[in-house]
Amino acid sequence: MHEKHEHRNKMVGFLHLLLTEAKDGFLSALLVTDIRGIPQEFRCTRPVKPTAIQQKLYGDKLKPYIAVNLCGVPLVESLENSPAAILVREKLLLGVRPFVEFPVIYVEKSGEAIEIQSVGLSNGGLRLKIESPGGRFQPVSCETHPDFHEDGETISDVLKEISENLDPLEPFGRILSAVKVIGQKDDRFV
Amino acid sequence: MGMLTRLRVRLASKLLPLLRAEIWRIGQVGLELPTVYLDRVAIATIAAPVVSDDLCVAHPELHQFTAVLAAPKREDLDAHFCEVLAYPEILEIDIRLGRPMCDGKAYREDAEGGKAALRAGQPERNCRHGIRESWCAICRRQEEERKRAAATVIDLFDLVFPILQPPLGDDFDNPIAFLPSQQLYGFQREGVKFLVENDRALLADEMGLGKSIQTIVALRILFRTGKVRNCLVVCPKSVLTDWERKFWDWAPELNRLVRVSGPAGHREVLWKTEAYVYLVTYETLREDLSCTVRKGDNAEDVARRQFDAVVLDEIQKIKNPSAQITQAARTIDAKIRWGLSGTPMENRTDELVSVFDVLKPGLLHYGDPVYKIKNEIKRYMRRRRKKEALPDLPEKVYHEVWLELSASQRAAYERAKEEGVVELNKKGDALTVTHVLQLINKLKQICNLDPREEESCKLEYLKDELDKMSEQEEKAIVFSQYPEKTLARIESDLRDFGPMRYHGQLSQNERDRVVQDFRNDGSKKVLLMSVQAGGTGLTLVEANNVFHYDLWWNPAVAVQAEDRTHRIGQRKTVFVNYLRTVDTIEERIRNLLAAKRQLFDEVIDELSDTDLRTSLSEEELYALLDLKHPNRKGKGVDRNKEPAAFFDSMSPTEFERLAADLYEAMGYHVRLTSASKDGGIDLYAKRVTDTGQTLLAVQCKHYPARKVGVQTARELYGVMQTQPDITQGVIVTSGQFSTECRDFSKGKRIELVDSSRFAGLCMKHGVAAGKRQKTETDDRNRS
Repeated sequence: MHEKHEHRNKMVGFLHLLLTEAKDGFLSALLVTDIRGIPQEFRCTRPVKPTAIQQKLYGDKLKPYIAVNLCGVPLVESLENSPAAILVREKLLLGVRPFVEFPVIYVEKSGEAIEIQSVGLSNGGLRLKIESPGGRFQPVSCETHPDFHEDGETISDVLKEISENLDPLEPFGRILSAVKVIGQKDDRFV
Repeated sequence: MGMLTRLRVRLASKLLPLLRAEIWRIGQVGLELPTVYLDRVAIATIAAPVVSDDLCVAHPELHQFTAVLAAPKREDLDAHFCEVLAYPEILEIDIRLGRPMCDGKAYREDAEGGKAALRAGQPERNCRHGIRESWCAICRRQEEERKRAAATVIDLFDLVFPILQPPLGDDFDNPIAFLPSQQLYGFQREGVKFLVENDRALLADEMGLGKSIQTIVALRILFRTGKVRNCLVVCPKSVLTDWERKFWDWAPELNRLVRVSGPAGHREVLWKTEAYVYLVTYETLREDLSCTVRKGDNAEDVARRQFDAVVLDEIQKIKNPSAQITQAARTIDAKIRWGLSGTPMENRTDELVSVFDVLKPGLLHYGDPVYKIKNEIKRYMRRRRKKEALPDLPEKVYHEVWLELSASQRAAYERAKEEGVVELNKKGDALTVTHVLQLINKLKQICNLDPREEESCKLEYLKDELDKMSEQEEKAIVFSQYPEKTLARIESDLRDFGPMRYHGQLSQNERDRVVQDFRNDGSKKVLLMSVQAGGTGLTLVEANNVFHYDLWWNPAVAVQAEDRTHRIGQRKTVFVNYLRTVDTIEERIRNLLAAKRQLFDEVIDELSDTDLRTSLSEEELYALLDLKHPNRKGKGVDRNKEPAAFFDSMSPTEFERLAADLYEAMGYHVRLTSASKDGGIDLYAKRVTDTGQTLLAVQCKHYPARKVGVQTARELYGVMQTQPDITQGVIVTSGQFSTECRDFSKGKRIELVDSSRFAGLCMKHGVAAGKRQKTETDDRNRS
């Protein structure tokens, strides 16, 4: 599996979970870029708007269920390109990992993490810190799914390569802007 | 006994909420009492259960004995209770969350070669023309046509494609956003920011400071932030191709670009094609908005008028408020309006008022005093002069200008190329590089000037530029390798600029006089110079604009030429302009040399004095003309035969079939007509593109031993008059055409293809005789 990723055309996915504008639901979008950040593919779900009863009944399970089962996994499955890894900004999206073949890695700015330990095994997955060569971008901390520690070794080179050209957190901002424009043009995405 | 008759038995002290309806039935009463009987049955009724918001079943509100029944018989109790008890309605609440639809798009352009591959430094494959894919003009044009054909609609995900691009960088310094050779100077970055921050703006930098590049980068930002979804750029005809090229270079993600030109019917389709950018000339815009401009005309405007942004290049063209192009520009509705001009006001303040009447209506009024005008336009205008920008500017600024051959040049070029290739192929194994270079030279000369019609797209551009320069009191030198075939012939057209010619035929005294006059006489604005005669010691720092009219094989020669002006004593930045023509041998050579030069720069000094003709392999040189290396066997037409001799062995029917095969190979759908001929037409060839349909009516004249006369052309023309859907008539012959036939055909949409040209086309498209037999029957049946 690791070799398969190494030989894959180097692309990276950025999976983001977003609140609708009216804050009554969630939608998800997935941007795949090459390692320089140039977009190769963009996929987006329509919003999922749970009713009051559904919110009560699902309780705490609602958001993870929507994020992973309803949005995340189908988005990844709909890709035409095969990224070397998928980066996420919400830890609950790591839940996508058991259902897909690509490494799914949580990223955050170093310093956002509240855990004392910044690298190594935590209660969850394997944590890594990735420095941008030349300090061009702020370092990021990454975490794998608890059951897939090997993902960290697999994609650490890819992440380092990304960081030469691209702030790994920046594409999430583009996703937000793009979804906003899409919502302005098509009511079905509001 | 009396006491027992009044005994009441309490069965229940209270009722509790139940999860489900239950019926209690009284069974046998174990009382040993004499003669016990049911006196009455009182049924407690309760309200139907209600599902509250917190999903709990509320306590029933009513709890009362309302029904008192007569003592029923025991066996009826169950049925009785079923009738009177109110069962609550059970609601079905679907709590499942459905999976939402996924939409999206795979963007392939950047991933498949092109500029991205160059930026990534990844090795790139050669195309079938022997040139790197990203540099080959023919492949690129075909790819653009394919994309344009597929891109009749911009969907939602195309709309956000610019937004999904990586950032340009705070200071436009993101290396992946621009090519390594693309750098914005400080004043240009400032100009970009000025445009982005102002919906209405006039960028009035002096010529040569990169107004169009600043505009394109600013547009790129607006597209990326979603503020703009489409844009109209209006410009003079001479720079239309240059704008297209600059968009390709500086904003490759804005890859849906439509150049609105050609016949009116084509333009109508182009205006309706979805695109990010529409490029049009002032004259075309005026024509396509003729209804609005003329007022009272019942026809509809062809052009669309609603855009998010409009850019008017050389906006001084609308200085006359009553001119139709000014009126046309005024009708464009766009929230962002930018004007570009090195000379926004040439004579009077009214010209500026007319300009701002389009950019910011109501800001200025005719008759406003100068101080008021100056004050009002201050915040909307940015003007930098070269001397202000000089600290940012290097000593030399290079500018590659891409131009489209004029119609007559294109016709002459194609003819010369096809005939030349045929001649070269005839040589077989005797073909040498020298022969190839001779043809390349000939084609380069046509790129400079059509020898018959004396039209030149480069000359038109040069005149515009000299016009601007002379207003700024600057001088220019024009270099060419062809002093007689180019410089001598353009001299008279440049008479308004006091041209002087410096060439090898002049005596030393004459040369000295030319140089002195050019230096000292202010009316002498341009010097036409042959580099061979220019010498290495000549100093001409009076000029700071250099035009390389044609392409040099040896880069060092170009540098030497420029150094006439760029040397001690030069106080201004030297602007070096390379005039190139698209889709010609110049573009192919330039791309090949650029690729080679890139390699040299990595290994050898930048100023490597190497004649790159020697560094190109024979295969690469041959590939420039789509020639096969003499050692290779080709397919199709036998190169060793004279074209006429080749056709000798064919029957008329075979000749027609060959013509049909050729047009099919060129992408047409072909229909051979019946044996009785369809008005003399042998075949119809149809092609549908995004710009419309092309229908050719072709007559095949297998006359190897004689010329096709004017009567044939007249007959064809007659048929074209009766069938208005025919776009063009073609006469293909295995011989030649008479002079009368050629003269008659000019200007009548009739193309003449003689034996050489036909043979050349067959070779080019790999068409051989004898291929069509099995399809002929079907075609004849269809006709």
